[in-house]
Amino acid sequence: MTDLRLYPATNGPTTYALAGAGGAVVGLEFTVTTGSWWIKALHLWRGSWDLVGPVPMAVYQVLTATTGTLLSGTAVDLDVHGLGWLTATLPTLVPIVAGQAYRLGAHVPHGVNTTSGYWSSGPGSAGITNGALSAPSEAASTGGFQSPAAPAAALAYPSADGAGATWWLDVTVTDDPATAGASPLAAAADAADQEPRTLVVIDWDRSGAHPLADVSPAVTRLTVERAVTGGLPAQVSLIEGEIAAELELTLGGQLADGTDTFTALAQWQAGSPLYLAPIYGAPVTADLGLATDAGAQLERQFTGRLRALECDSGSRTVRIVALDPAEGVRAPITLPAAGMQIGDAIAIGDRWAMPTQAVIDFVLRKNAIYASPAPHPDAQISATGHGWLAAEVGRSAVPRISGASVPAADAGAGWTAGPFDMLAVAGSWATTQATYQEFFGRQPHTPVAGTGVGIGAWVRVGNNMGLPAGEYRALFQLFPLLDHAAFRYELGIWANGSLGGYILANGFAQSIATTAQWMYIGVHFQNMTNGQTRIRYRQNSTTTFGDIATPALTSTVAPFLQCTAWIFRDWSNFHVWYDPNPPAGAWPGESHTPQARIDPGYNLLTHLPDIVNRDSWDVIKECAEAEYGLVGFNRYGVFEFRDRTAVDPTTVQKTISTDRGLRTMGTAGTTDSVRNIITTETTAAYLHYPAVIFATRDVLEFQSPVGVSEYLVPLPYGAIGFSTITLPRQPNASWTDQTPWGYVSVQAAAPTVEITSGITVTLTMAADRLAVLTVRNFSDFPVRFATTSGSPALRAVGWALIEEPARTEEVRSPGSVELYGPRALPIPASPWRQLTAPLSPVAGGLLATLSNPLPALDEIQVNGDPTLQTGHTVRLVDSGGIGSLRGAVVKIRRTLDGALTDALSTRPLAGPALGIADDPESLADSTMIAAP
Amino acid sequence: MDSGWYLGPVGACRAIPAPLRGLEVSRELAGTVSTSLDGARTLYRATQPRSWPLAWSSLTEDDASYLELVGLGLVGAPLRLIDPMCRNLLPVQVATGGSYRRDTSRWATTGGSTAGWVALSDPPAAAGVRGAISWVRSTTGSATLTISDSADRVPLVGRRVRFSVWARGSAIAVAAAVDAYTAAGAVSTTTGPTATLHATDWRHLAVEYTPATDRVSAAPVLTVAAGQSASTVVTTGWQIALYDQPADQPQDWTKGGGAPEVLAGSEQDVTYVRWRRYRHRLLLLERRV
Repeated sequence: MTDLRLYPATNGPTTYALAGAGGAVVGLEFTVTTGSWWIKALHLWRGSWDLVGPVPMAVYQVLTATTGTLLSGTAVDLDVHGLGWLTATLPTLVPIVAGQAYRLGAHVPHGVNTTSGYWSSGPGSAGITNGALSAPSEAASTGGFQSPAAPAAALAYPSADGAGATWWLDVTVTDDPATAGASPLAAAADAADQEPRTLVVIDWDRSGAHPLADVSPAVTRLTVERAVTGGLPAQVSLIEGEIAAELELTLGGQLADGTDTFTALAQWQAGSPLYLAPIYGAPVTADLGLATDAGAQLERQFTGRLRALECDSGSRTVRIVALDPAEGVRAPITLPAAGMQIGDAIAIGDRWAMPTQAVIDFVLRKNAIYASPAPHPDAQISATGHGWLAAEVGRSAVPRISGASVPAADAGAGWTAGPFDMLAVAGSWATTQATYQEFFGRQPHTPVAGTGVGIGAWVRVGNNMGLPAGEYRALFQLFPLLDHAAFRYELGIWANGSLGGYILANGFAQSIATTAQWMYIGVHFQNMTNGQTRIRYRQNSTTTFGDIATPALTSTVAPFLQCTAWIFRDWSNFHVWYDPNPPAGAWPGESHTPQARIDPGYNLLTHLPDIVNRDSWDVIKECAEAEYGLVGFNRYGVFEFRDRTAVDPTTVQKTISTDRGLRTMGTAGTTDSVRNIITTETTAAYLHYPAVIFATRDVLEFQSPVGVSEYLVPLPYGAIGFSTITLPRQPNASWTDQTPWGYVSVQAAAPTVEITSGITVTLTMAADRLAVLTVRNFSDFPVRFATTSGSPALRAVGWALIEEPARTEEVRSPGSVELYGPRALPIPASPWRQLTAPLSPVAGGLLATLSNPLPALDEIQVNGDPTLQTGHTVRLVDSGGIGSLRGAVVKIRRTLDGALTDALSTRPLAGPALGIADDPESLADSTMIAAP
Repeated sequence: MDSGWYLGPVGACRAIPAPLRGLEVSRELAGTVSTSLDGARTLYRATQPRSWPLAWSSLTEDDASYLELVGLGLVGAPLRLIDPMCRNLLPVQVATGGSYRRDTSRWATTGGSTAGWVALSDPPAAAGVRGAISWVRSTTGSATLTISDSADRVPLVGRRVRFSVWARGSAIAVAAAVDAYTAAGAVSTTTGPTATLHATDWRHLAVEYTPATDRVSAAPVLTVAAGQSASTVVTTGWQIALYDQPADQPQDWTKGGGAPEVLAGSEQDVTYVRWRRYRHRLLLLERRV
């Protein structure tokens, strides 16, 4: 068998071309010259993070340059994730005819990586050929143009001249229809004669090279269980919840080198090579497979950590239990104070509401799992921008979002698809827009010789941003001194795409050579001993620099470095660090291999719940369950959070029939499964200003002698104060219950006598939920904060989180209520369920699935197939018995114990009328799946 | 004349009397058979090791004593059995060109060459197995293809052996050879005549070796001298057989497994049948196929 691609070993460029509003259809013409071929997969090159989905693709038979017919079975959606060649595998092979021209089309919503002139004068000017597969040159293509492209809102036949550029599409064709559709392993799993193989590696000393790591020869029994546990009834077809995996091994006999397994692993005796070694938590992987005609083929089933090891002297066996890496995600989590301001919410809706990704990413980063680059080890401020503006390192102030001034064109979500497949802050250049976020560093910075500050971020900039000429916007400004006019580091961008690095107004601009796309940019200010500051720019992986005179310090150093991050351009992964020296080599955050896949999610948060020192995994689970997402570690040990539409139940991955692998199957239907009224309850909360965030409770509280006194003041949940605020003295006569801030000062010894001068009271935020009250008492008397009539009188103003009334909604199915009586399924309230809109599609989908009784499938015993995984859809054929049913697999207990056996738990896929009956023509009930 | 049965550690294999006739050598399925709802069967096979329930009706005290020592684990391990009913002394995985496990386990290469297992639709007629070792020599240097595991070496019992192999590939000169080892591990190589391979026709190569007295075990080797063009050799149907008597003339390939490593002692019993005569039963288990 032969598989052919046009570009088996050629990568595309990072050069990115923007499509217009609505996107574009791009294409590639190809043909096979001779023989019988089938299309197996479609490909698109993704060289930069700017290329985002969804990207529907299809193959058309060319009739003329402008007309063609869709090849049935070739319309697929590309999973746009990661960089490199992306692949969409067709569900079944589609035959093509030798000599016939075909066009592969893709609709890209934002843009595509490109090489101009590729087909007319570049490498493709004589066509691209690999064996029987070829793409003709520009001149030899239908209509005289190869690689068509045109603005379009949806996928259609690619028919417009692309002017010789290529969009880096590719196709895989195969000449073997029998085996090419399935992998050799999947084919072997259906064979009647099977030779199971296993590979179990326990990296005892975490070195990757322990001599006893491969314990496969000693495995006598192996069970891998992977289950999705969710919060919905078993009849619901939605795959949601937490994915958990466990590996259980029984070992006996000898390892490959002849070592006796029991004496080696019984680690409490001195002869064991693992004697007293810290083996618990060691990485464990397990692969299962079968001997095939392409040799033994193994598929990873489990990646996790060693949890338990039990030795039994009687049978001389060792039992080992390993759990998936969720076991290690246990750091205590305290969420930052963050919320939307009520004024913004009323003016512009949920623009800045926080999606699930923000919280899950935050928790993972606290556990050193980085979907996007980690901040500099000595970061003062770090904000990922992955769906919120809260600080990861340092502290964020209340977001200053001026809703009314957001231009209509930019009024979409506050977040956009950014690098590393994570959300980024969506910027707007418009001059009326004054959206920014303030941050505070962990430590102060004194800009004198021998110090340095770096700023790095991923920003969407370039030399063709299409902005009004001559305009300039600051992106990130740092204020180390109390007087912001006295000193300011700044990284900005000119409309023509030049980076600006400035101290106050002095500095340089550095032009960017590439078109607008996501790129890492950085600037480092090095304060040198010669009175100069060297400004280094980083962009396109090169560093340039220039020197300016360091300004004199004319103000006091602020207790915390203050930062303003402007939202004029899209940005993410912004961080500020202190280092007198510029980075050597790559800059911090410039390159990164994602360690997790985190979908944005459908939930939206108006505020962050009150989470203090909670277990990481609990936070992740609750947050995901609030929107019925899918969360856990996959079999390769990589964390995934997928939204509820990620599992596609319409593609049947495997058919298991009674004449082959199906050992037993049963169904059970009861009226208990009927739910015809679905209710939701949500509670939003918003930040309100002005609000009293702190008030003294007793006249003796904060009573201070002459001099300077400081008090630590814990703030209530959700309260955010000004970075520093000086409270005004109020005359006793004007102090009322409604006074939002200030104090009344009286003599401590004579509390009916007011002190009217010599006292300064400031409240400074020291951390989330913690402020410092400083009383500078330079009057002649110890001071008490109370009215002359003896009421406590000291209050501070700020932003307070105030809950809206709970909102309940219900959807009902009147027909079902008539038939079965009312049966309610409440979607319970949760701190993570704040807005109704994200939940409504779930409620509607649940109603569609549950309003009629559905049978649940019992645990199904089938022959093991190492390629079958949770989330796959199986067709179970009991011809002459229960019939043909389809289910989505939510749990697999895979055992190798002589036989390779799978015990499957499935969720039924509801057809419109027949319950779970397999109905390929009308497939699954899509109301659940298509949401939102 | 000895019976052809030998039992003992490599270098000290001892001729033992022929067991009673009617010996049932069973292969135990490590695995299982599962049956689907309408009766279709699936066979799961990890491996199928043999067992030899050997029995003798009237042993001398010397023989009985030796067998009892074997059963008690007092004879040095690992034990090797030479079963004269099984001509090919190589393990099945080697004899079948890796087809038993469909991989290159227990195979080794030298000289910068690499090996892979490939399925075959046209194996040699005399060795009809499902696949072969595809031995890739990427340079023109000398190279060998042999077994990786010293436990797979054939024990020598002082009798002449003959190593034969089927191979095909591009037209280079290839030879069969035998590496003979002393107890201390010193090796000497006996190389047979070279033959030029053919791309599609299978060639049969062979070499005979008469053991020197200090040689205790032998390994099969396929060897290519330096200067032969880089190429891929496909080979299967390996065999080492005892070859010292006219009656042993037929040298057709058989499946292998004639000199397995065995475990003894899980079952044995001795019956005193008459004065200094012993009826003895000893179960031997094949350690691995």
